[in-house]
Amino acid sequence: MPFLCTAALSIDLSRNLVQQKYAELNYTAPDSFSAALADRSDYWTRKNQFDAFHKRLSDLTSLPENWDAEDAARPTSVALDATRNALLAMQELGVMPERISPSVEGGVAVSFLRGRNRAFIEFYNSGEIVAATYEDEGEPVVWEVEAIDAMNRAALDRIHVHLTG
Amino acid sequence: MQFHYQNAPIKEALIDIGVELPPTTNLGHLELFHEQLKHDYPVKRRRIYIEGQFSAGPQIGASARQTEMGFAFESNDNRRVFQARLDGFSFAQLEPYENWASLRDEAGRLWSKYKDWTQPVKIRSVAVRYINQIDIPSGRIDYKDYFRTTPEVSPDLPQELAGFTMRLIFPQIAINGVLVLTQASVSPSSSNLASVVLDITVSTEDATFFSTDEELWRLLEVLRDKKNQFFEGSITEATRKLFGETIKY
Repeated sequence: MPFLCTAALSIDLSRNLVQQKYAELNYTAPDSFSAALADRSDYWTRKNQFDAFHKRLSDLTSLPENWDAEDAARPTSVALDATRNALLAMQELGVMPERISPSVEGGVAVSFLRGRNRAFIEFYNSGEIVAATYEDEGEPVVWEVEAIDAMNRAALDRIHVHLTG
Repeated sequence: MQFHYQNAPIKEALIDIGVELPPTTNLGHLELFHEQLKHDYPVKRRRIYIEGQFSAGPQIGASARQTEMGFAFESNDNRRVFQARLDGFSFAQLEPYENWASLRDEAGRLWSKYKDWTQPVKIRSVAVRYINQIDIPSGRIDYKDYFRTTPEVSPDLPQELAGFTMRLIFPQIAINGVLVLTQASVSPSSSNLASVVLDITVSTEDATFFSTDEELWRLLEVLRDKKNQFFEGSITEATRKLFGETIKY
């Protein structure tokens, strides 16, 4: 584990330097407070979450055929690229997915959840996109979507309204 | 000189006030506070700190501990976030950023409610933080064209960087505090962009600067001016051009 050792040493060293500088100036370095602030940013929190979704999407490229042992096709570049473009639009709009998973229909499924309100979008290997909104109980409202990206956000707006309604 | 940009790169602007609450205050008390704010901030999330611990020596290892510190209450459009925590209060405006006055005034309104509800024993710290994401329209850039403080790589090493994080801590003697400037490359929103975050936090824990509410809000103006000075001092004219029309005043 040499990496962890290096990380710990570099953290301690930088703190010592700051403490030393403050000692010269007769101050106490409030380093614990500055470190705590790193946790308080929603920008960083959301960015990290979206980075994790992009990573998850990349991981799906190595999924084998028949990954569910019930003949499901693995997601193709058509579905993956469409999902990637949609993720960028979600990030711009601040619509946070709950989960990204392979679809048993062949493609990628993105699900959303806020309280009792739920939604999902499926990006199929054929290029088709289907979106749905529903609640814990009740029938889903399902519709076809032409594209979801920076220029085509209507489906995301509709999902956002449903989730926050 | 101050600048106002048509397309300011501000992704998040935040005012944070650290407090010590009466020992009897618990998460349940903070959760009930949401009732007062549900109309403007209907979404409730738990706020959890993850604290990592590194250890070196005969035993090298890492561990993480989760502590529930309070709640984040969000506006319906996810653009405004108010945190009510056991260790403090913060209000954040995410993009699109309007202006300092609207950030400060809403933070003031919420602080007043938080203070009435929690009755802090004392204020521990005050901070202003601005996170800017600067998107440069090129997959390959020379950072020195856009930033005036850059990591310097030894001429004996390859000069191409796949990424970097630079954290500089400047003492702020006038307020007995610090300014933390973090400059880091981040994943861009498009493959033909290079994105760099300029994250500036100015803070102080010196209670002589916020012994009254009036002083506290005056201090916030000082912190914000200091943040502006460091932001403007960190970027070049080429960067300013990325922000559209600029009004100097």
